[in-house]
Amino acid sequence: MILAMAESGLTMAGEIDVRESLRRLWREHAGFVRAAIVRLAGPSLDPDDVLQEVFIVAWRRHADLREGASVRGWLHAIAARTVMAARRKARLRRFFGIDEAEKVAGEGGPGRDFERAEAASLVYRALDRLSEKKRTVVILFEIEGLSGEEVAAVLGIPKATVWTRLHHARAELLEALAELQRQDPGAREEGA
Amino acid sequence: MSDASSSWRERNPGAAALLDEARQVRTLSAAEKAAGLAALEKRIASAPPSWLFPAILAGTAVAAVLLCAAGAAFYFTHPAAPQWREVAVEAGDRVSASPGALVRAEPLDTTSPERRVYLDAGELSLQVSHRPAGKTLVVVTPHLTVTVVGTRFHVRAQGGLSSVSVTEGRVRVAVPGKGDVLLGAGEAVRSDDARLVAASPVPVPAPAPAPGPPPPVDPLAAQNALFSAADDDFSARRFDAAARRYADYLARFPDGALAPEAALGEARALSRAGHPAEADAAARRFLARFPTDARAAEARSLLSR
Repeated sequence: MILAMAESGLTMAGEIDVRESLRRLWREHAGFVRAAIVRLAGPSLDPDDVLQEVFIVAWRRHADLREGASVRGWLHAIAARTVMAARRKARLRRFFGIDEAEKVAGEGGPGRDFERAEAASLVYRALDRLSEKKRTVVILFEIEGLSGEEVAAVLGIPKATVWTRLHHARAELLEALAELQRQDPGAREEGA
Repeated sequence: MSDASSSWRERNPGAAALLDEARQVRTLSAAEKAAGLAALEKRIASAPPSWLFPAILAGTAVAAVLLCAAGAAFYFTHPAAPQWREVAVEAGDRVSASPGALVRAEPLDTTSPERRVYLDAGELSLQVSHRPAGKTLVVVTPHLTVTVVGTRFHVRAQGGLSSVSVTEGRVRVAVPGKGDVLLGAGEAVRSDDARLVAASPVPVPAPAPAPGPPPPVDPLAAQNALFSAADDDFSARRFDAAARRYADYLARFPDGALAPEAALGEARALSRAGHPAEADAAARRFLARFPTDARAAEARSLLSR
């Protein structure tokens, strides 16, 4: 199968060069995918590295995109899986002492991609206290702004699971924010 | 559910504000987008074709299966090496026969002074406990006979030859038609060894004329018994008793096969018993009689300065 671009996104068609399709895919969606990666990963990863990985996966798996399917949803799902895999790999590397502790926003590292670096730093420090599954759900729903159905589609899980994870994730997030606020009174008041 | 979401945000406005602020990320510039695409195309150009990935995965899986199959085949076609088996001789003895060895032990007869084990082919490893005086264990191969009172040794009968190697103690090895030799710890002999031709059998003294017929005494067994008793005393740190027994041996069997060992043993025992002058004299007797013995240096170390 060969990818072709439609005005509103990518749909399946034939007889177009795959390499040219990839270029169009990049030109039309790289910005959106990179923003999604920054929000999913937080300041802990280099979004440009992950962005490359996402498009390489898209190039290799282009046959998986069904005709009429949302290209953005497909790329979003690849981005979510790639970020989760990269975070697991980074955790392992830190555990074995291969990498130094992750950088935080506002230090000139990957956190420079946030417009409000201070708020992002606080939010992602709190999110890092959640499990990877809860963290991803709350980011997709509360920060990315996806609907419950879209989150379920991106992660490939039932909608009910999305709501359950979201319920627990929100409670844990509030608790983590309050804890960080107590530890660092200079941090922004998270509010009640 | 969106109502529920709005409700949560309304109840937690501070957290909602923080999440909204975290949503705002920098956009990708046109230059960054172009550079990123160039980097992507470069990576894809150097990457193996996509059809190769399933092939690599399949190849890895096939290799893993083949490796497991080869391991299983090796395991089932290479059974563990056959084990040596124990041969029952007497309590206290440990006799092991090599796989396939042709060996049989004579039935136990408490009235017989010796117990015989026949090794027709293969190998025997023996750890023989000390026998009481007059009792011996004899290992018979088609080519030689090993007589032992108590020791550890190894016998092999293969390819028209037999060999004996001694780990502890001493054994007498006799080859019919050739002669015999006394082996100590660390020594070995083959049935075609030249020493056996040169050696003479231990002479059997003629029975003394006496009114009553004395009980028959095996001279080798008597030597072994007396020498072993001296060794036992030495091992038990009864050095005076050991010295007396070694001297007794030398008096009774001055040309006995164990005379060098007894002479040196007497010097050692006297030294350990705290009699330096007597030890010095015994060591000098040893050196005078056996000047080329390999243990001469040890005897010299026992001389008083």
